Amino acid sequence: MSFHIFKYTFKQLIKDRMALFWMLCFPLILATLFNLAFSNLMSTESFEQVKIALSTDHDLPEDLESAMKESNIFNLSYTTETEAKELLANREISGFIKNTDELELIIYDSGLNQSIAKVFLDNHVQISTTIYNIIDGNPQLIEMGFLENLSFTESYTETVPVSESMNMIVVYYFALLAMTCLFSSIAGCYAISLVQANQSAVAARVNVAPTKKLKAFLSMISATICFQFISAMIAITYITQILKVDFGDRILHIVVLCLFGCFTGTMFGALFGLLVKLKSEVKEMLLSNICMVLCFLSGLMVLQMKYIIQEKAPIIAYINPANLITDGLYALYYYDTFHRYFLNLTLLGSMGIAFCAIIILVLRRQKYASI
Amino acid sequence: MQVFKAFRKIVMKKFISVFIIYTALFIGLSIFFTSSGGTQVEDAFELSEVRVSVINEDNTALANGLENYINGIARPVELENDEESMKDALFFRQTEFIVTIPNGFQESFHSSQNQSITTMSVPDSANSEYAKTLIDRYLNTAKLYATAFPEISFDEIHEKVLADISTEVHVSFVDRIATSHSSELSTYFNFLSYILIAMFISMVGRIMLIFNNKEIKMRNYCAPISINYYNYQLIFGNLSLAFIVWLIFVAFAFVINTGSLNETGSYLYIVNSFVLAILCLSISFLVATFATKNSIDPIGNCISLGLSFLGGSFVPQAFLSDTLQTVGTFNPIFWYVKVNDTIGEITSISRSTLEPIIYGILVQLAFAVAFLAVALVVIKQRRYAHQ
Repeated sequence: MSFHIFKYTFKQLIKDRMALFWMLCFPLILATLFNLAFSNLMSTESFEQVKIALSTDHDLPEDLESAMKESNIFNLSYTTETEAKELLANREISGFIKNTDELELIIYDSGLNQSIAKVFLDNHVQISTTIYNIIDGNPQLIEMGFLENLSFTESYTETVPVSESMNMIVVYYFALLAMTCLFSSIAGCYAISLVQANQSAVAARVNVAPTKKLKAFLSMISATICFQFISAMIAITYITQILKVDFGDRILHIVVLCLFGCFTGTMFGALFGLLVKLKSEVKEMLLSNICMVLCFLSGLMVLQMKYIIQEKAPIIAYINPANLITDGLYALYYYDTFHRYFLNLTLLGSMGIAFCAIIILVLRRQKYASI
Repeated sequence: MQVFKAFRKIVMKKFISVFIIYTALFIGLSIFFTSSGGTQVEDAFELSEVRVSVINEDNTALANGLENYINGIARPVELENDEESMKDALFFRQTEFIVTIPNGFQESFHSSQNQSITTMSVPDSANSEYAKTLIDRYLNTAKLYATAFPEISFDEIHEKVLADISTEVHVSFVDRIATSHSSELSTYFNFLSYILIAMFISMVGRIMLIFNNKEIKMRNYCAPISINYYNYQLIFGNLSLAFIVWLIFVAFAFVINTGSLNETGSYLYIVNSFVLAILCLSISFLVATFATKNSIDPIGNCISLGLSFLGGSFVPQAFLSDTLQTVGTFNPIFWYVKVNDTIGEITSISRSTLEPIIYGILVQLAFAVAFLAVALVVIKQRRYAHQ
């Protein structure tokens, strides 16, 4: 009997075009749009050598040129001033350096590359000031061979590797997966309306049948979870295989998290459907809006939102199922350890179980003399 | 004008509250969007501000001096000294460069084997290269003084280093006209394309669904008015609705950015957005001919999000992939955003600067006419199908 109910609920979901669109197609469409829109977004961040032209009209100080070459920061070219101006106007170079009376940097607009060039040049000009100041203060230093042992290019920093997985954009996809999982709440809400006799005629009929209510409810819910889980899997496959977004290699952990997400999402919707007494369309609209708000708070529309909530209101971050899913995926992607992932997984799971317990307590032994 | 009257009554009785909620919602969205984005172009040279967090474990004169120097040039971001919050902040780019000055840094500064400052950053990012240059510059100069005058204190060294570092190379701009500060307005109007198209499809679509109801249509076609006149009244009704919505959002643009109304090109934004309103209207008119009560929301979502994502309403067009930029020619929103960006860069009104803008506007109008024509043809076809 359970399998029978399971089968028919599942069939019903597949044949419901609206459910199919929102639960399956909508995430895929959004993922495609993300992919198209953000594909070039991160490329501006990586460091490329700053393109600088050196004017050949006047001689440049020799040590400057060699220092620039040594630093490995610049991509140098030699042009005349008129050519350089043209290159600048076309934004092919970040700036050019000429040395008429003093060193001068000519640029088109301010920016990071220009700042790098300027600080480097400042540094070069300033060192001679420094040496002059020092010798002025203590002339004997020259005799002591001070000038021979000078070094200006020592590096004092040591980089600690953070992680190679630093692509911020994946959080959009994580939030999208969270949304996919949480959309199951609408189906969960629908499932409740099929077992709660005062909510629909079908439910009244189901209650008359000698099947236990718990059995009917659990079978329906598992069909819903199953359906949503399959669509989440399709979304993951689509994002990682076709759109080629790198989710890391812990696929199994991602799958487990999504399963928990679907479970909690369905339970949330079922609880909502059970406790809120409104028309079914209104309930579904409300639910989908709540889901969107939860996803917004976990970074679906504005990435930084997730960080802001986490810093300013960590409580909200810990009770928001969308954020638990997103954060779990993020922890898998970014951190080497599993500590944070399991924390999220546990919170998500216990939230789902709590919802489920409340539902069963409310559902049991409700009987109607008349409806 | 019976049809128009009916239209007005339907709006006032059935939809007015929904429309007000919609408008309020989208106004909220656009405030949020405009305030989060938008960069200003400055005329004087400004050093780029990298977001840097300094974690000072040493707290000696040298370490404090370095910290003050970095905080003066970069934008300081406070962070807690634990690994997780550091890593999180870095991932979400709240900070771009984390500097940890280890305990005992000043003491080992004199010896040849000095302790290194540890840094954390996004791998291979330009910002971190920049920040490293700054740190090395300060420390190299400090080291020179420290070797030359071993007897002076680090506080004095800090003073001397700061004085030296203020030596600057002369920077000048290649001849160009100063850019106006219309980028915030540009962001707002770019985002407007999403708002208008989403709102119109949902509003106009819902009303048209009532008129497209089979029974009501059959009754209406019985009336002694020509189908063309009937359609024109409907279009006029929709137009007036669109006009009100457009007016609210345009007025609002200048409420948020007070004082930008009299800038060059401001009225060009208004013209362009009006063309956009007409365009969105004819798109929604077309959508309404084939959508049903259940499918209008999904279709509306797909079209509005799709066109605006691909057109560059959310992300600047320069960031879109190359194929998208080519395919964008077929996307009316792409043209709208392109015209907006051109207006943003405009500095004076002349024939040559106006030409690309007018061209873009004409393309949008052509799209609008094309969509409307298709819609009218579909409506006419349907009519014969029912007979």
